[in-house]
Amino acid sequence: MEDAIIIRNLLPAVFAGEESAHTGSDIWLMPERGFLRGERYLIRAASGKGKSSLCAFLYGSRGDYSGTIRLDGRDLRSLGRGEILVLRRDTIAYLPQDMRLFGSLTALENIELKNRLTNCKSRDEILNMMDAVGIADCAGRPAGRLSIGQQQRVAIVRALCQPFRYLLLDEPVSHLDAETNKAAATLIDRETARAGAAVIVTSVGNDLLLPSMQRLNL
Amino acid sequence: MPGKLLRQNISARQTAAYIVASLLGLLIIGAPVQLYRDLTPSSRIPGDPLHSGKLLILTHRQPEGLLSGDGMRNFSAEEIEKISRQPWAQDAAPFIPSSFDASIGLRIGTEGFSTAIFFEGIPARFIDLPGGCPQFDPAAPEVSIILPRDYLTLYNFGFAPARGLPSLDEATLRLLPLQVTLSGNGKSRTLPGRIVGFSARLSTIGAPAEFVDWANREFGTGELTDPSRIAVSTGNLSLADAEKYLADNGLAATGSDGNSSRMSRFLNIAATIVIAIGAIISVLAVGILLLSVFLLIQKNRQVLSDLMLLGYTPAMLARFYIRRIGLINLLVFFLASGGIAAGAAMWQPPLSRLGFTAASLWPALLVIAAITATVTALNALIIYRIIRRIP
Repeated sequence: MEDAIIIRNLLPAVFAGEESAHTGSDIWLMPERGFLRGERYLIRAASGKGKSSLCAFLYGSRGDYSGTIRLDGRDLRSLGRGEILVLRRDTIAYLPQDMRLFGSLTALENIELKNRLTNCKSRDEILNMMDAVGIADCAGRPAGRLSIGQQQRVAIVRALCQPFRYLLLDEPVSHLDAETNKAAATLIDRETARAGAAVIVTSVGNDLLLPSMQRLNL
Repeated sequence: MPGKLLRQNISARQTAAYIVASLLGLLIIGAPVQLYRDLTPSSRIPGDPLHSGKLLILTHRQPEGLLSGDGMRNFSAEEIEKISRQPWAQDAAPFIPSSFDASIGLRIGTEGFSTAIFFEGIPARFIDLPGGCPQFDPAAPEVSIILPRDYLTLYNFGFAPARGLPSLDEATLRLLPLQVTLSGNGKSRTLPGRIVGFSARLSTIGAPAEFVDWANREFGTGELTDPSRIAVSTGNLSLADAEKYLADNGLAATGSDGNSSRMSRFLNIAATIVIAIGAIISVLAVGILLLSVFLLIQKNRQVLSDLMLLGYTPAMLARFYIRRIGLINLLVFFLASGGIAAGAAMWQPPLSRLGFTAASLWPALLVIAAITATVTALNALIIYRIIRRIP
């Protein structure tokens, strides 16, 4: 199926032998689970259930799983590294749980580092997005000197600075209060609606306040 | 901007160490190449009138000791014929001895001098001058004289400094109008003469054989001695073939163009050793660089991994390091080129006074350019492969 990520019988290798522990999961070992473009999915689970692993599998940065993942009809395992990197630039955007910002670069430089791969956004658009989530005044500050909440917002803006059809957000608002959560959700809502993208969000408790999310158990 | 991240762990000291080591390696390779070319007498040297190609001038070996009897032996007709039939002798002809008296004079204004001189006739086919060997015309005779280069060296480095006289160069001497007085047979005649070349292969005063033949007929006693020298062209054959014959028959070869001469052999060996040392230093310098780059990439491993997580390709990231190394190598190349040119500027003038013609710098520069390009390409390949392996 095009315009979807389809997973079949997916299980992290670390869970091998524990299949019975995952009956009832909406993700692991499902005969087929699709993440369709235009839809939004919230995957809520306690720590250690594999939320970050799922995101890494879908992003192609890890391959230690059984089962298959097909993105727009292509098995991720069949793709070479070059093809995966192309997908990361123009198809699938990712905000990892640990954000992976570069502390020595400023907030704006961190965002532009991603944006320059595709020149998706102009500088004004980037600054507007930063303003929308309340970090415009942090633009010139080294990311290493920002609070975790500010870093998360920088990482959210960075993830949106590329063309994408799928957006993976691994605990994107774990350190945000309700107001900044709402601001982030509004920005993501706008950008993903414009792109017609699927949104897959994981959460351990503080959920992204994005409307119309389908809840899935891990 | 990835550059800003990747620059962070670069050590200026390590970079400087690489530059110094690499520069040293290139200089040790390039300078001997240039010096070797400047010192090697070869067919590319313009101005040596004795024919290019592998030319031997054979004489009998001088017997040892002061009181050695009759002096240098001459070549009999049988000996000349035997040499001509050797497989390594493509062409052979004797130098024609003179049987007339000759003196050479120079007059500048009211001052002049003259001295007795002798000639040996060199067959025209062994004389190679720009514009060709002047044809001797008995109706309007002019004497073309070829002097041994050693005479000029002796003057410039011995006589002139001792007497406070100026050095002379070949070009100046070629311009001097000389008077050659031939006498014998009850006749005497003064002809214009000119030095047309200096040869590193001669130990006699040469003139075209046509002239010596004519002068022998006009002014000679009619009794010609056997020739003391034979010119032998070996063509493309190895001179090693000739060496055994020469050794077995008590002959010596002077002024050979090629590797059979001891001087050339010495130069070859010395140059090879020095260039090999330079190559080892260059390899070590490259090794230092690669180790430094490898350590740098390891230090930046997480940064590189995170950049690839964003979508940067290994090629994009390798480009930063490759560009940097390329610029450093280019700097080293220019410094080495400058060093070689400066060195050549120092040794070429004294060598030219010894009769050596300076060789073009281009081949030496091309050698170090090729080394630089190869090293840079190798660096680029290795760096790309290291980065590509980062998950």
